[in-house]
Amino acid sequence: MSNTLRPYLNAVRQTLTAAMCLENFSSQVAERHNKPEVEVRASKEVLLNPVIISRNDKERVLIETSVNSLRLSIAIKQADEIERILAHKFTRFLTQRAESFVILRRKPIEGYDISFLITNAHTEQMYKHKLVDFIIQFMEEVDKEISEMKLSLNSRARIVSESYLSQFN
Amino acid sequence: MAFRKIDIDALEEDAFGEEEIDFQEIGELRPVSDVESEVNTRAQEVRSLLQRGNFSEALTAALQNPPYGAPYHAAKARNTQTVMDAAYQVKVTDMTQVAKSLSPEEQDVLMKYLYAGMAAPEHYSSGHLLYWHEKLTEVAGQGCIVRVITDRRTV
Repeated sequence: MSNTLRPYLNAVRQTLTAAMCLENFSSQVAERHNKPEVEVRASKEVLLNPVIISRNDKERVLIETSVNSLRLSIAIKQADEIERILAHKFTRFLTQRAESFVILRRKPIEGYDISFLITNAHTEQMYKHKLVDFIIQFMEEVDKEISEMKLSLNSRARIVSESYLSQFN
Repeated sequence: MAFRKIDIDALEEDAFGEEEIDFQEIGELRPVSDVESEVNTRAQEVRSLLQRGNFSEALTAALQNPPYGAPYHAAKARNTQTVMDAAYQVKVTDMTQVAKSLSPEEQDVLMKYLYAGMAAPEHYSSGHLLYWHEKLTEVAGQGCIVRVITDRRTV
């Protein structure tokens, strides 16, 4: 399965670079307000078509763009119950610290595990290609982290159970 | 304005709704049966070209006149199936050449169908589509992706 990882990340990188063309745009509904249109969804004409890139039915990325903001939602691969719990804890750890993260959204979109919200202010302060690099690196690392955590969890459980049950030997 | 129950802008007489926007982009909508019969004839044409082994021409034929417009759900699903059938037959090594032989409009339509296929990973295996996406972006550039995201005529 890993032979689709490189084209998958490539496709996400190309689509993200193409979609991250954001500019300042004041709200058309309330004067003197400036809101990320992809969240507010008040005017149909500033929203662009959402796009899904999938590697298989478990791993997907949803990219929704508008004129001044972009929302990217990632569905992480979770093969069994342990991985589901670990992924949930991991994303909770990150989303609770969303303010320091800047581009992270506190709640993921329905059907996905974690969401990012990137606005024109972010692309003005930070390099666009660096933001894309960060997202791709994040997607690579998340899978590695979760399998590492699962391995260490299993080995710790084995050691603990051995040392506990050996007293009944 | 979370407490307001009525969306007053939609009820206004001059409201510029989805139908008007679509009319500007797509034009007069043909009757559903016409579009469905066109999609079915195209499916048969593509199938016969595939049986003869003409993968490149089959893909070009499948990408003609996609059924844009809100009422054509069944026709769109059928046409997506046709394009996917043609796209899966093209081998990874031939993809760049086939992509170069398409006109710019056909490349845009193919990119739309690639995303439509990836949106349904239960039906269409995404691995092959990802290879297609990579080769098509090499040939057509990121502008192709931008046109897919911004074009209101969705496939």
